[in-house]
Amino acid sequence: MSELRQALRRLGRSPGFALLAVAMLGLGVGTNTAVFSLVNTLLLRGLPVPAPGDLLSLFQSNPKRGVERDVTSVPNFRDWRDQSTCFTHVSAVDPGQATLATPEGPEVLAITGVSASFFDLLGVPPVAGRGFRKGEDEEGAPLTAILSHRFWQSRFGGRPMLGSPITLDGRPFTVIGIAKEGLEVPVATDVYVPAIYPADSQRGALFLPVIARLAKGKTLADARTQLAAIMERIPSEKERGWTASAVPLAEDAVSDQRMSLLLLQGAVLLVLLIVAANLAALLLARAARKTRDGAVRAALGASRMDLAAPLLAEGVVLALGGWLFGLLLGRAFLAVLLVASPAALPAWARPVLDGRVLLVSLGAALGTALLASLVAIGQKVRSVPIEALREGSRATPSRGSRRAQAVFVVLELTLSVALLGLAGLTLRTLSNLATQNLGFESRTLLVANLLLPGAEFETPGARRSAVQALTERLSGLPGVTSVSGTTTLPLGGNYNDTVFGLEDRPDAPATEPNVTGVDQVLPGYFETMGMALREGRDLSPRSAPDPRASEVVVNQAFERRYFPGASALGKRVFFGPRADPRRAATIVGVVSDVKRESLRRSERPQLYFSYLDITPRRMTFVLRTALTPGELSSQVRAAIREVAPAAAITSVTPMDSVLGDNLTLPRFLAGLLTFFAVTALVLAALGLFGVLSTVVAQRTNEIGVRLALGAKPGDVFRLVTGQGLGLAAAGLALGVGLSLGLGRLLGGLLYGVSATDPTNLASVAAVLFTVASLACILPARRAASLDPVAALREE
Amino acid sequence: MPEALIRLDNVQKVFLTDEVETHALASIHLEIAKGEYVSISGPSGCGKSTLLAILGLLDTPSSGTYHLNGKTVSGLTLAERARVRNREIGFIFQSFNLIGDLTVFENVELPLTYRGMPAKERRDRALAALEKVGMGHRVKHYPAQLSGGQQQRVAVARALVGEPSILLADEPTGNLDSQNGEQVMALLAELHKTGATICMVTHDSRFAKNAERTIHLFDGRVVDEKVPVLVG
Ligand SMILES: Nc1ncnc2c1ncn2[C@@H]1O[C@H](COP(=O)(O)OP(=O)(O)OP(=O)(O)O)[C@@H](O)[C@H]1O
Ligand SMILES: [Mg+2]
Repeated sequence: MSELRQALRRLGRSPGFALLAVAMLGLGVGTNTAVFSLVNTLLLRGLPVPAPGDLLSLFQSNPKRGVERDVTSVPNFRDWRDQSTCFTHVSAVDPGQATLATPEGPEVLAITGVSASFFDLLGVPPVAGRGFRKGEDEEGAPLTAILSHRFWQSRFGGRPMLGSPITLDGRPFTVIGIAKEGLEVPVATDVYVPAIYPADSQRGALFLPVIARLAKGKTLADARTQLAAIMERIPSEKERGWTASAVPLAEDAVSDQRMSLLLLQGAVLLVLLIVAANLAALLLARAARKTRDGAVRAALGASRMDLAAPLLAEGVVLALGGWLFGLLLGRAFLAVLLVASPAALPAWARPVLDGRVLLVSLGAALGTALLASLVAIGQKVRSVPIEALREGSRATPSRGSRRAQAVFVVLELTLSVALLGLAGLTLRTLSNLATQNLGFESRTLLVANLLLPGAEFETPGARRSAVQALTERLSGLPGVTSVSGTTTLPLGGNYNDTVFGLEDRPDAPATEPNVTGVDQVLPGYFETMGMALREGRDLSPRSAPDPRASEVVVNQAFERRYFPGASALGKRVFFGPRADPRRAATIVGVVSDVKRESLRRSERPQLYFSYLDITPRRMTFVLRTALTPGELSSQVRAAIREVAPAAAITSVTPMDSVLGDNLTLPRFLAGLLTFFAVTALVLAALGLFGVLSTVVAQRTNEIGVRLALGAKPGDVFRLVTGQGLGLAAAGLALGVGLSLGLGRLLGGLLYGVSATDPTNLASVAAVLFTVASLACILPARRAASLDPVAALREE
Repeated sequence: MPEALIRLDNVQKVFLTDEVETHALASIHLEIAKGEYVSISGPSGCGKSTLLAILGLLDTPSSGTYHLNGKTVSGLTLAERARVRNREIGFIFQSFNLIGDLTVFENVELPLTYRGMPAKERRDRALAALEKVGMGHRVKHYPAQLSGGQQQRVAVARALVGEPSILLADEPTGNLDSQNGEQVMALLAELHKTGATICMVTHDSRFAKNAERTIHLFDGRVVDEKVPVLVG
């Protein structure tokens, strides 16, 4: 204790050193605290439900067809639920949109259809009212709804709602409960409703996500075995090669973020290591100035422990200071991070500084400070008293400690080069994703998402004429050059699949359902989007469906896949679960591929139908504008409300902002990594500056000698910068090696750039040398302007 | 009469610290001819080192003129002064001032490096200089591995390797025991015999008498110049 008090007093006497050390530690601990609290929330603590490890996500797969993982069908879900013994509960989780009738007109909500057992499965009962009861998810049951806490607060101001009616998609529901605040598992939603499906649902219609909770004593392996066995017993599924399996839901819930988070955690650990090296160099420099003191004390009989204890105590004091500062910084980082990029994390994941985070950050602070202290202690204890006493009266001083400092600076530079390299790769990835050719022109595109709910749009005819009227009205808006529409906007987060067959095709027989992406579009869609028509023609503009002359346009991926080297034009596609020949369409055109499901994946085979043929209740209008698309959005909203007041507007946004939503995670990763890399570089530059300053201070006499021997100021300047840039070059060489190694780990996070990309490495080198040169300038100038007489007098 | 190698006319040096003026040198007139061996003595603080620093172009006089080889040095730029130091002047210090990170050989070679001399020539000259001071066998050693007397002999080699017009020595024996001190003085005497011009500061009257002429400084002034009686 008295050691600590003395250490505090000693540090108080050199406040500059103490503040610098605490600031550096705080920066290292702060970044680590922020990132670790994310890791803790997403990867360690997991979903905010009891025993989150027992929750599984069930899925089906078909190795024969290369389908690694797919959602399931209603009949399969029922079989899994009814035949399994491994689970306490099995529930559908069917996310979608619905319209809420409000006095101001329809409002679009996120709703999730769940099984009656859903809240029991999660183990998180509603905080008010009750969960769904057995039977409430069956056909004919009275319609009930449970509000999410967030939605209850934001939409109804938290007023009593139990027993109140709400109208969703034109049907009356009774509110029976309010879910717990922050539940949002496995998806964020406004309203939960029972998932009710008709008895005759198709096994081929895969759209349903399913979750389950493991029963006591059962394992993931048990569940997998049993699911596979159940599928074996379903002849149609077995015949087509379908099987089923499960993964932990927690893993599933963070699959997008996991790699990025681990990478970021690694990055901030490197930052911490840099802080440790910097602190070690700082302590060494401080110790070097006191070598003689130590030597004198050793000569007077101080033991090694006597010499080490003060340094250790200083380390502990610095660590505590750095920890407290780091917690403040960490909280600030976290707040900035959540504000800057709220969508990067799942809605249930609200990071907090819990006990584990506090402990880990304390450990980081202590570990870093003590590691640095031990290095300084090692140096001190090793310096033999006689030599230290003699030093200074003979040649210029202490090569040993200077060399140790140089090693640390090279280490810092190495690590920051590695981080710069990684940051560069993620920045290039971001830019590649953002600027790639999407297959359509997004810049002057405005998109308006609509739902057509309720009785007013009950019949396909009503929907058709509403869409037609809307198209005409929107086309008439000033600044709009063309208007069309689609049911699934590229990169909009919705994809529909359909089963189909091809005539006379053994690889896609008409008797066997094959799965492909499907989209219903309005006339002129390809032209409005700026997609290229490669062969044939657009769907013909008609006002009513003609079942005998059904047409379809396919994309190039479809043609490549099913008609390699040949034209798909004129070929017939069959639809329906049994590829009913009466439900066929002729391929009339081939269009270019677009980025549809994700910015990274190239497009799957895709079919485009006329909206007339299917007329679902959703429509996304796409408007090509002559103006900045954003400027038109309020006019578009007004026009839609005027023509179809019963339609619900989900959103009206520029296509570019839809693209932006697809860039959330890469931007999050690139932004943070760049921030950490810059932090690391600044720390390393400080380290370099510190070492060079020490060198200049220690070599003042030598520099005086050199000046006396005829060195010009320029020679001295070069002497110092040469040394600094030499260290930078060593750091660069090692760092590039490290960066190449680490870059390989990035693999799947990269896009359009490889870890060995020479441009990236060259940019890193340029940045490093620029910053290193800046760090050299001051010490070098100081050295070059030394007064030779004064310098010679210095010992 | 041939032009003196060094001529100081009315040279003054005033240090200003915290409003206090220190007149380290007051009106110095001094000529040193080529081939002369001059010693400077005087009590501590009388300005000996200051005078030597001015002679060596490490410092500039506050007023007065300094002619070196007939040319005034007052208008020289920093780089030109460095060049003159390198070509015309060799320094020997009390505390040797060898560079610890460099070997004996590299220390001696250093002034030639600043001259941009080719490596081969540098090597030959440095080795010759080291031979001259009897340190040819220690070229690869580091200064810390040598005795004080040996270090000072290396420093002498470094001072003379560039064949300067004049060797300036500030108490070269100050950190040496008498035996080592005598060896270094003998070395200087030998160099003088072969034609070197030497200007040496020393407290030690035994060594001062090695010189042909002794200049006494007191409070920044030359108080007495005497030519020692040659013992015959
Ligand atoms: N940079 C300086 N600033 C202020 N005063 C100085 C400076 N350098 C020297 N002096 C003063 O000038 C005077 C002469 O100093 P100098 O070093 O020349 O003495 P010295 O004769 O060499 O003494 P010593 O025999 O002790 O080495 C002293 O009074 C000294 O304090
Ligand atoms: Mg002196």
